[in-house]
Amino acid sequence: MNLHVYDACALIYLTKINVKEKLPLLGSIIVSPTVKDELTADIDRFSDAKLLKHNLDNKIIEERKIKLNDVIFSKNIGKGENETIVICIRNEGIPITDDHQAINYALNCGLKPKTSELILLELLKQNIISHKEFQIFFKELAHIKSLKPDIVLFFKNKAEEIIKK
Amino acid sequence: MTKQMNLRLDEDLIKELEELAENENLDRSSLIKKILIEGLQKERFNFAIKKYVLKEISIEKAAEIAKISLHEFISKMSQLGIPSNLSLEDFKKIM
Repeated sequence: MNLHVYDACALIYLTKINVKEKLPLLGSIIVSPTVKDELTADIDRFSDAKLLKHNLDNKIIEERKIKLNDVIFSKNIGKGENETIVICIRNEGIPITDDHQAINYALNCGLKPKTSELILLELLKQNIISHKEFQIFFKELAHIKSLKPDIVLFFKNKAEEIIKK
Repeated sequence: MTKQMNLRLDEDLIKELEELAENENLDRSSLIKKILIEGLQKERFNFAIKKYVLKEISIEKAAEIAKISLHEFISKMSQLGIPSNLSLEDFKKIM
């Protein structure tokens, strides 16, 4: 089973578009201690934080403790993003992040990161969601992330390639 | 703990502050403190966004600099229509 290690921004975006419940079908959902804190911060103001806390309490999202004594952090990314990458290195996990700096750091560490857009494509590829559902989820994601038109077109085409196969 | 800080302001600005303080039923010092706190929050957020958009820092780091939760940072970015710092080239690299 795939070990998907999410950073906070990717999991927040996927929660916002209501696709989080389908994520366990792709692999286990792991988060670091700092990511866990970020997900549940501001719980009184954000309903997504409440939902994520509920999932953490019910072990749908699993916290993975790590020791970071010997780790050299990248200064351009946050502690949660750093921890996410360290967990992936130590456990052959797949980092899920929606950030440019974190993706490049993960690539430099020899990992194969994915973003929430790629997770949606994966759900489509594995027939967990239909093309119609993909379009609805992706439209919402593109809106929340204010994705640029070239990126929107790129993923629209990728989805069409998948359903043609 | 508080510390005293002296600063020189234009007379017109002081007059404006006094007028606003009176309208808001605040003393001058409390009003300046309120404006300073709000201004600092805004400046921190703008600085963090600038660094994020320029791809110098990650989204989590930006929220940390802005001293707000990631939930709030994402929500504000979305409201302001600030695009994700991922480019098409980033996606092509990982596919």
